[in-house]
Amino acid sequence: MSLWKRVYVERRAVVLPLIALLVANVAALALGVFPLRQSVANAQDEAYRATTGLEAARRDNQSARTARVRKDEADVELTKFYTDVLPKSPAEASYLTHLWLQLRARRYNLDFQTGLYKVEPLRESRLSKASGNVLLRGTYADIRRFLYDVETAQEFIVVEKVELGESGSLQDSAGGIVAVTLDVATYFVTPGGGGEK
Amino acid sequence: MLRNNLSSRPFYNERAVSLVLGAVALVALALTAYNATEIYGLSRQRAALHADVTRDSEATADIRQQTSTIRTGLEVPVLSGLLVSTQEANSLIDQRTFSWTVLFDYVGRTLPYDVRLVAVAPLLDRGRFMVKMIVVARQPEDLETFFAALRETGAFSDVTSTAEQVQDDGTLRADVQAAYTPPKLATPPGKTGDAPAAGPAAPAGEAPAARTPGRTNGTTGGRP
Repeated sequence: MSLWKRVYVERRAVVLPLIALLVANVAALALGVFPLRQSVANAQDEAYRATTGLEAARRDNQSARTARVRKDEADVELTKFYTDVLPKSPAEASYLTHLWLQLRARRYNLDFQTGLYKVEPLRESRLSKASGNVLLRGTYADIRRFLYDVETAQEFIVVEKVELGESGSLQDSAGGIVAVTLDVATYFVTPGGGGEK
Repeated sequence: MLRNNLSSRPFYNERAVSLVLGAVALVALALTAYNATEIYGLSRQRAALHADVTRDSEATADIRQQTSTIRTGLEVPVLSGLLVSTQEANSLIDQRTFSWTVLFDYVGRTLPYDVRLVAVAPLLDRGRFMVKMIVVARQPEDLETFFAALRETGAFSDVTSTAEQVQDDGTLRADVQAAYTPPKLATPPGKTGDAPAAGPAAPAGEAPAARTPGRTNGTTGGRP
């Protein structure tokens, strides 16, 4: 009997449990610890993905909230523009481009004549445009005052074009009479929402 | 000398064997402790991670649901329509707040004596004003003088004559076009960024008050 065999036989009570314990530990490493490590690594990846997904969802949510707020603000501002700033009806638009301008012209001693007037809905818009031209005759200074008055008024009226008559001159500020044609326009919400987007 | 061991149980170093076995036992116990600790720790870590994943996934689903609700009414066609309406409103407000007074100040200051302004119209092109003018001049040099004077104001650029025609009386009629940047006097309230601009302030706000001729023109005097 060799020495090692003899040692084994004589110390079997210790050696066998030791071997069993070592085998069990190796098995625990191979079947428990290493797979568990892999599982934890996978779970970490999954947790990372879940966290980044959550952050993305939060950013998306914030973006949606911001868009919602801006959209609501835009709606309010647009409604305010349509209802408080623009003429409320075709009649009011007509009043603005005719009588209102005439009253303003009278303030500055200007002769006032209206010309063409037309109303047309704007393409792909809720709005219609009421436009026309008016002929003013007076001193250059008075016409400048009239224009200033119109452009600083509350009413929404746009002077689109100014044409000076043959005798008119910007250098003529000495009181000579100047004839000026203005193309004016205003806008209103088309009744019935025609052409609404 | 006789070296053979004739005993039935030859002697060996039992202490050394005991030491080896003891060392192996210690290693086995240490390994056992290590495995137990690892398994316990990793299991807890995994459970915690799974809990985090579950919590985050539920929160994500919840937030996505909220986002979906918030986005109702924010569909692309709706927003596109709103954008178009907003741009239209801004454009109208820009046209409304255009100051003829300031423009006439510039033109009055720069127009040579032998050039007469016949018509003028501002056009809004992609947020930039283009001013189209029809002028009549006695000589082409007068036109050049006028163009140079317009450029010198700093408010006009790209001043060009798009069409010229000699009239029966020998004068030169020219269609003039220039990019025009009105001086920044005040930002109309309600017209900031790309938010829809509206509100009565735009046509009737502080801007016109600050737009008195005297503010931008030292020659033609103050408010009419």
